Amino acid sequence: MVKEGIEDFQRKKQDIEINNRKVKVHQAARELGFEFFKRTQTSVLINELNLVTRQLVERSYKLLNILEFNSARKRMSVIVRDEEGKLLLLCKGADSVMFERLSNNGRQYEEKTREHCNEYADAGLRTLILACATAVEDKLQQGVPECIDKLARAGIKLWVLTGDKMETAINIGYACSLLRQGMKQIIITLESPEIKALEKNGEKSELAMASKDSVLRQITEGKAQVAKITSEAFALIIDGKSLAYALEDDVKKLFLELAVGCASVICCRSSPKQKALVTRLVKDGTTKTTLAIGDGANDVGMLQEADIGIGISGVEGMQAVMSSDIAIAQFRFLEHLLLVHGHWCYRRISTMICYFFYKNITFGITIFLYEAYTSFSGQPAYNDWFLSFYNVLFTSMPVIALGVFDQDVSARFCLKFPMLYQEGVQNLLFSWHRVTGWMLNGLGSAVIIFFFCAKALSPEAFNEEGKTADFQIFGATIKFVFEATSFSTPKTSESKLTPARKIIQNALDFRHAAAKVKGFCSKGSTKAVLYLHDFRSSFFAYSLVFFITLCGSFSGMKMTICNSTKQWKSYVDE
Amino acid sequence: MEEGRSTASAIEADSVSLSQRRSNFIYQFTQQSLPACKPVLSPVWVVSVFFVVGVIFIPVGIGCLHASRSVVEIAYRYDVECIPAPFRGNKLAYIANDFIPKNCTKHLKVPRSMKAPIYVYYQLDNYYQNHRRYVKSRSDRQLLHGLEYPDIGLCTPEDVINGLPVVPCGLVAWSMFNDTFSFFRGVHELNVNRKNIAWKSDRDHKFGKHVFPFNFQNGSLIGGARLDPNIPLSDQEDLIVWMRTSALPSFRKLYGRIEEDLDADDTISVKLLNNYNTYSFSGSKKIVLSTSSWLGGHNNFLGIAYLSIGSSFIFVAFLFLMLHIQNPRSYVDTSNISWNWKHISD
Repeated sequence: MVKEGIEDFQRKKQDIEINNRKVKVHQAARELGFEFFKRTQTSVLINELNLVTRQLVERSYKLLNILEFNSARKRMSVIVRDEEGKLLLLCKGADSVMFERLSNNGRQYEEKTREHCNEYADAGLRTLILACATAVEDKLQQGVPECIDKLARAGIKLWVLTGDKMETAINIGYACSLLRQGMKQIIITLESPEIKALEKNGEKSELAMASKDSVLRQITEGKAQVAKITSEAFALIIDGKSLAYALEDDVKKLFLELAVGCASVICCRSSPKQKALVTRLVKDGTTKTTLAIGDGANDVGMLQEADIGIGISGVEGMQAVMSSDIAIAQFRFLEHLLLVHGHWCYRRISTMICYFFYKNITFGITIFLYEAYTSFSGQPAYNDWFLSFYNVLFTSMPVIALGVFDQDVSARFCLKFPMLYQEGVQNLLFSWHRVTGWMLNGLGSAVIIFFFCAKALSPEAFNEEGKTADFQIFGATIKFVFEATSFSTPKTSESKLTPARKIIQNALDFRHAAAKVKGFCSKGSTKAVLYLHDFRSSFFAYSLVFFITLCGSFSGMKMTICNSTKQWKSYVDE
Repeated sequence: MEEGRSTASAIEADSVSLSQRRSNFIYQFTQQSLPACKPVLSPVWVVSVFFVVGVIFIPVGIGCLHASRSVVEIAYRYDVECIPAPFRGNKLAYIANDFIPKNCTKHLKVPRSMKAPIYVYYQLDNYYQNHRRYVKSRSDRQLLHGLEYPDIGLCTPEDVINGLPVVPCGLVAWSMFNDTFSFFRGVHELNVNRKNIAWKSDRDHKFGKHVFPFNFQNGSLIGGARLDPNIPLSDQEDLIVWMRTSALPSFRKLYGRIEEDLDADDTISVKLLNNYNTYSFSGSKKIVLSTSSWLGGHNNFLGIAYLSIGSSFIFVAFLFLMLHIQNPRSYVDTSNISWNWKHISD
């Protein structure tokens, strides 16, 4: 009991001493203009003297954590966040312990402080060293994890190339679901003790060789691991120093193979040059298209190197934006950019090109067929104005409208089924099969149009007045008919495309959508999915050609068209 | 974009202007959210469209065919028949010799009664009036303005003869058809109206009222008809009809109109002058008498085309209907899509 009492007393004495010391520190601080006046449960309020304006400013610091004094550590730490979001780690402890903890570039006051401490110690004062480390919390933008998840589901492989430390990078990886709980991590680093020892005392060449061997060994081990366990996903994490060796010509192929076999790759502590080199490695080593997205000046090399560079305009300035192909404001807009606009754009461009070929082939073949009837003298079937204006005026609008407005599925669906993006990746809409199909369609249309019109219009009279069809009427009729046909054909031909929808069967969401499909009336895109392989849709397209041709040739013979044509012709002909 | 919109609406204080803004056409255009409908080919639609179109086409085809069949046409090839026997072996000599009389009389039998107006055409075959050099060889400006218009370079070689320009210049006018026909029913001559056979717009706007033929057919090579230099071009209807170049190598051009009815089994005698030389390129000439209907001459093609397409549409509609009844599928059922078939057999 006495022992307890003595311990108790000693503790109380320590407390008083500590309290006394605390009080004294507070008093000193107040003299200098920093007054601690309030503490709530989570924050601390301090009146600070702004040295510029000489005004007292109230600032609050949010207390995040307190690491109490502990005799093993010999120090006490507190972590606070100031009003700007900056994190501060403040440490106080014995001088021996604190001096050890100083970094190399924080030592400018070390000598002075030691002197002062020694003076104080000589004066019988107890000394304490107070040091601070700062951290900046770089929050992930809103919507980034969801965006990354969607892109991963779209079949896009994501790599992170960052300048941060490995721990930070791994943390971010978990935060944005690039790394998941079940994933095995393959870490390639040069932090092993042998390398560290060589760093301290060995020569440069020996260090280089050993590092390279180590990296090569780790890569080979990683590859073996990936090859052995096929059921699990792997994540590759490599730091900047190892990356320098991994990107050398003899090693980079192996490195690429390992990286491509992993589900996610994180390169930390990478310099801008290394980011560019990794991008080039992937671009040249695989046949894939690379897209780089970044927001800082250190991403410029990477953005330029990749096939598509996307800059995020924001806090870090405009260098990334200026060197990019596309600039967006937030990272999460990338999912919309790729899955909606990318998807639509691919489809629009490929359809537009096919349509353009179709209409020009139809046009050319009607003229070619006509040549057989002009003893191959080179007389075109149409008036010169028709020939010139054909592409510019008469058939430009449908093609443009198709290229601007066509949406196979709405934006909502594009985002809901990210796998639809694979249609573009696998180049399903511009296969030879499809292009030739459109061209043959053009050939067929031209033959039908030409022969129907020729047979229908000649040599007998075509109207009640007994007039016979001359060259101009013939040309005008064919023109009218085949413009009408070319307007209608793309939409009907479209239905017989895309074996792309095969992809959907793999997406789990499709089953949900299928159940919900009944609720959908006007946006029948999922319904369209189910009938795309029917032969009836291609037959429908051809029947429409016949239909239009017949209607066209029929009305082409009627007086209204002919009269208006002949009147127009009389003014146009020179 | 959806999240963008929802946060925007949270921030936006005035919701009225937002909804106005969203229904704005420009906004919808730039956001690519214009209202649209996408027709989906479901069995119901396909079958009904095919059926409806087939049902529409068949009467139209029958109408066209009826119109075409109601036209009575008599066509007679006379270019070989009209060569006198001694010259059958040397046709070119016959046609080139101006001293051999080119008269010829042929008899045509009217198969069914023909109501006025009866159109008289001459048909030429294997005559490429659509040849590029030929089509180019004319000057429409000169036809309208006459000698005032000097630039007739395109008309070579028929642009200048003996240093003087030719009006109308060019090969097209030079090769004008010059056979003439007159028709007799028994003794009584049928009146052939040679006026108003050309397009009105041509007469009014393409051939000048004050342009007269000049220096025409004065060269060493005579290509066809001669023109009366006292009649202005706008009244020279034969020329105007001839100048409308045809599209195909076998064509008819209007010669005139008979404004009397012809009865069945009438015999019409045609007295013709076989002037035009089609022998050097083995072309053929025919005389055609034809009535017309609302659809024109005797051309079965359109009627047959409509009928065949209409009936094939109806056939296809039934075929699809049978297929649909036999293998019906609801929208949700994906098991019959071709890439899922394999899974069924597993």
